[in-house]
Amino acid sequence: MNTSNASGAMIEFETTRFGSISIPDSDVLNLPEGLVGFNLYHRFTILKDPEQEPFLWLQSLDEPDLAFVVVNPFLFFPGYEIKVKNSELAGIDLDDLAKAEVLTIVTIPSNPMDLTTNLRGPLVVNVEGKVAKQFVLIDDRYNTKHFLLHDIPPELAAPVDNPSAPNQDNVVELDARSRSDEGKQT
Amino acid sequence: MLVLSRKRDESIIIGDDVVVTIVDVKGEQVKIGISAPKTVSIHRKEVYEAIQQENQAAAKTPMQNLSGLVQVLKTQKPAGS
Repeated sequence: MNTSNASGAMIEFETTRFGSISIPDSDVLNLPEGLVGFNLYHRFTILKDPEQEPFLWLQSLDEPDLAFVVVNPFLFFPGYEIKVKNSELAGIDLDDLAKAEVLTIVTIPSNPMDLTTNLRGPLVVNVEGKVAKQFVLIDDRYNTKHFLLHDIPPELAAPVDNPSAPNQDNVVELDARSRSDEGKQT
Repeated sequence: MLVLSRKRDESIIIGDDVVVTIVDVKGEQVKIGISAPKTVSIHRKEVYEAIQQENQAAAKTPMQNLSGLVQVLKTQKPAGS
């Protein structure tokens, strides 16, 4: 398990899957809003086991049984694009998505080869600030179940120029905060 | 549920700082503008619920499923590589 670069005090947590784990203060990842549907749990840590890479575990430090398999989506979908507003990034103290680490949550059904990842609700991590948020994308190219080990659809396999970029109308409909340029607001 | 009738360009205010405006009405489709503090997240309900459901499904992943997957991957290359 990941107990590298121990700076600061070590804290011990109980987990259902990994038993008792000891991590440095600096490995605590804060999710001020929690995950969608799990808004009571705010403290997590990312556990790495070289045997299981590229898959990682996002383990709750508040609930021993709560853990998610996560993965770097770009390893599987190099054309994956996340568009979020700067105002939303400010919520995790970031001004540039390029500085973030992106992870997506993986669902592994009983037939593990059918595993999927949720590209519609990526977890954006401010690595330096140790704070993260699950975003809900306004981008109909992505849904909550993309197969990881089946054929990758061409539009996800490589970066696209922009033909199917998110429809601006969607942005307008959903979020009036972006509408100030239309002069209809307030 | 509170039901209010509004015309185009009319608004309702929720609390002190959430304003919902009817921007346009065309046939069965209504365009709604929402002005809210940045801390309030706004989503289409069906998308939000899909993510909620997927998180719940993912949270149930037992250790064995991932270990099983890792075993399988050791014997074959993933399609995406």
